[in-house]
Amino acid sequence: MWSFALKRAGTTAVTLVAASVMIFAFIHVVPGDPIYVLLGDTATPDQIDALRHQLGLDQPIILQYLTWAGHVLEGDLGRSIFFQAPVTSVIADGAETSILLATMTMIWVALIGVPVGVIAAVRHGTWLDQGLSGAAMLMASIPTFWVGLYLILIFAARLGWFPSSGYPSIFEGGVINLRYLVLPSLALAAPNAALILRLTRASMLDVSREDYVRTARAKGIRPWQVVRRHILRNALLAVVSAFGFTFAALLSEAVVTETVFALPGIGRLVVQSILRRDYPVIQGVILVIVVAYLLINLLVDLSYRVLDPRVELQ
Amino acid sequence: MLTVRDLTVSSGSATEPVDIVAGVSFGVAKGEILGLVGESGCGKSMTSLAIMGLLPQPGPRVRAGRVELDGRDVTQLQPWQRVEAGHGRMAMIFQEPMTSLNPVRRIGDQIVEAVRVHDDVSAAAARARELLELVRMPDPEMQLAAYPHQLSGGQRQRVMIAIALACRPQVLIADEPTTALDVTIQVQILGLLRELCGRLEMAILFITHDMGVIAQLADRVAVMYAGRIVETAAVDAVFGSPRHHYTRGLMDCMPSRNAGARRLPTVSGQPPAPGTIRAGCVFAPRCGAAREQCHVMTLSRVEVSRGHEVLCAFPLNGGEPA
Repeated sequence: MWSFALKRAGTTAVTLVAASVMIFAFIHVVPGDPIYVLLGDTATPDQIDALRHQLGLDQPIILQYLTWAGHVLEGDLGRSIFFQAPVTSVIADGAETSILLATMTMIWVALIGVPVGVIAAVRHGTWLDQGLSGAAMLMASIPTFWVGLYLILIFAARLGWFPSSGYPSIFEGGVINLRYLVLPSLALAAPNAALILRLTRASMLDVSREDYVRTARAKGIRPWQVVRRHILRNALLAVVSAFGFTFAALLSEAVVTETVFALPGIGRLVVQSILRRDYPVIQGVILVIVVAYLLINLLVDLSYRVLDPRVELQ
Repeated sequence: MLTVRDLTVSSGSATEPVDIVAGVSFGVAKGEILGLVGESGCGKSMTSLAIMGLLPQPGPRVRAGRVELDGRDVTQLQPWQRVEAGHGRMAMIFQEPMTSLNPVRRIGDQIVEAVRVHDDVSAAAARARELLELVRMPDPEMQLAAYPHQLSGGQRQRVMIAIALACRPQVLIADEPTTALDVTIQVQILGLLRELCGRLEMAILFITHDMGVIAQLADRVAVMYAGRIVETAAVDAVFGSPRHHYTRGLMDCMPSRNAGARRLPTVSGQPPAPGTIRAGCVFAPRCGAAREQCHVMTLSRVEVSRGHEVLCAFPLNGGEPA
C-alpha cells in the first residue's frame, strides 16, 4: 500500500513538471501579447515597456518559468493580467460552476446510461433494445448546443420551470441556485449518457458470454439474479474508467454548453483567457485541470482495487 | 435416473434445420458413470448443454426428443425452471475451471449462492464448508474467504464440484472436467468423482475425448460420432471387443506402454460437418470396411449382445469383421 502511494506520488510529480513546462512553452509560442490587450493600440512605447517590466515579461523565459514554478510551490498561481485579481480566486469561481455542473451531469449519466444500458443488454436483439440503442445513437450525434437551445426553448422560455442562463453561486443564494445547472447538465448528459449506455450494453453482452455466467445459470438461480450478481459488477469494471474520463473532460471541455447557458465555468475561462493572452490564468487553469485528471485517474485506479480483487496495488 | 430419448439439437432455421446432435438416446443409472466419448466437434458438449438446459442463446435449440430426470420430463427446461418445477437435482461441471468461477466474488459466496437455491438461508454457510470438506479441499475454512484467482486449477475444479453438489444432485454432468488440468491433479479429480458417485448415489454423465479416462473411470461407454451415438456398452465389453469400426479406430489411436516407438495409427479423414450429412452410415466415408450399401442404407441400432448396442450394418465380431 505504502509503496503504491510513493510510486504514485512520484509519477504524479513527474507528470506535473512535464505538463507545466509544456504549458509554459506553448503559451509563449502562440503569437500575440497581453500588453496590447491591456493597453490597446494607443499606448506609447514607454508605457508598454513599463508594464512589460512590471509584469516580469521582459525577463528570459527560463527565468519566468522558474519564478512562476517557485510561486506555484508556495500555492501562489500569480495574478491575472486581465482581472487584476489572484489567479487562485479567478479559478475558484470557475471551478465551483464546473465541478457542480460536471457532478450533476454525471448523476444524470449514471441514472440514465447504466440502467438503460443494462435493460438494452438483457433484452438484446428485441425491438426494445433496437429502440434504445437507436435513441442513444441519435443522442450521441446531436450537438450539445442544439440540445441546449431546445431545452431552453421548452423548459425555460415556454414552461418557465428552470432559468435559462447564468449561475449565481450557491454560497450566496443557497442550494436553490442548483436549478440554474439543471438544463445545462441535461444538455451535457445527453451525449455522455448515450456513450455510457452503449458501453454498458456492450460490456454486459461480453460478460454474459463468460464461463462463470454459465456456472451461475447452472446453479438454478433466476435470470435477473444472474444479471445482478454475476454480469453487472463485472460489466461495470469496464464502465468505471469511462466514468472517470468523462467527468474529467466535463470539468474542462464544456465550453460550448457553458457559452450557450452563459455559465462562468472553467472551459469558458480557458478560452477567454487565451483570447486575452492572460498567461497567468491560462497556466493556472491548465495546471489545475492536469491535477484534476491525475486525481480522477487515481480515484479510478483505487476504485478498481475495491471492485476487482485481482487488482493489486503495485 | 437420467434418460435421454432421440435428443436432436439443431441450428439453422426452423424450415432448414442443421442437426448438430441427431437422435441421441441413452440412460444413466443411479451410482453409475456413463462415459460419453468422441472427437471434438462430434456434438458431445452440445448434448450435455441441451440436457442441462444451458444451450447458448441465441444459438442451437432442442428440436426433438425428451430428457427425463428420475422419470420426470425436464426437456427444454433451464436450471432455474427445473428448480421452480421441483426437479432441480441435476448439476454440471465444466472444462475450464480457470474461467468458470466469478473472479470478483469470494469462493464462499459462490457456494452459498448455490446452496440457497435449495436449502434455507440460515445453515448455508455451514453447508458451504461441509461441501468443501466433501470435495477434499485442504483448509476449507480459509478457502471460503478466498477469491478464485488465489486458487490453483485443481482447487478451482474442486470448488466447481462443491457448487454442483450443493443441490444434492441425482445427476451430475461433467463436461471434460479434467482436460485442462495436470495429469496428477486429473487423477485426483477422477478419483474424487468416482468416490462421490458411489457415496452420494449419483448418476454421472462424463464427457471426454480421452479413451484412457473412460477406461479408468466409467462403468459404461457411449461412443459418439457426427452427432450420433454409434456404440453403447459396458466399458469391459467395448475395450474387450469393440463392435463399431469407429470405436475400434479410436482404440487403435491410444498409445499403449508396449507399443514402443511405433508410429500411432490414426483414423484417416475428417468427421463430416453438420449439414453435409446425407443418406447412409455417417462413418462410411472413413470406414475401412465400408461396403456399397453402407453409403445408402438407413441404419438402426442393433443389440449385438446384452446391453451392447451398435449403429452399424456390419459390426465387428471379436475385433474382426463379421
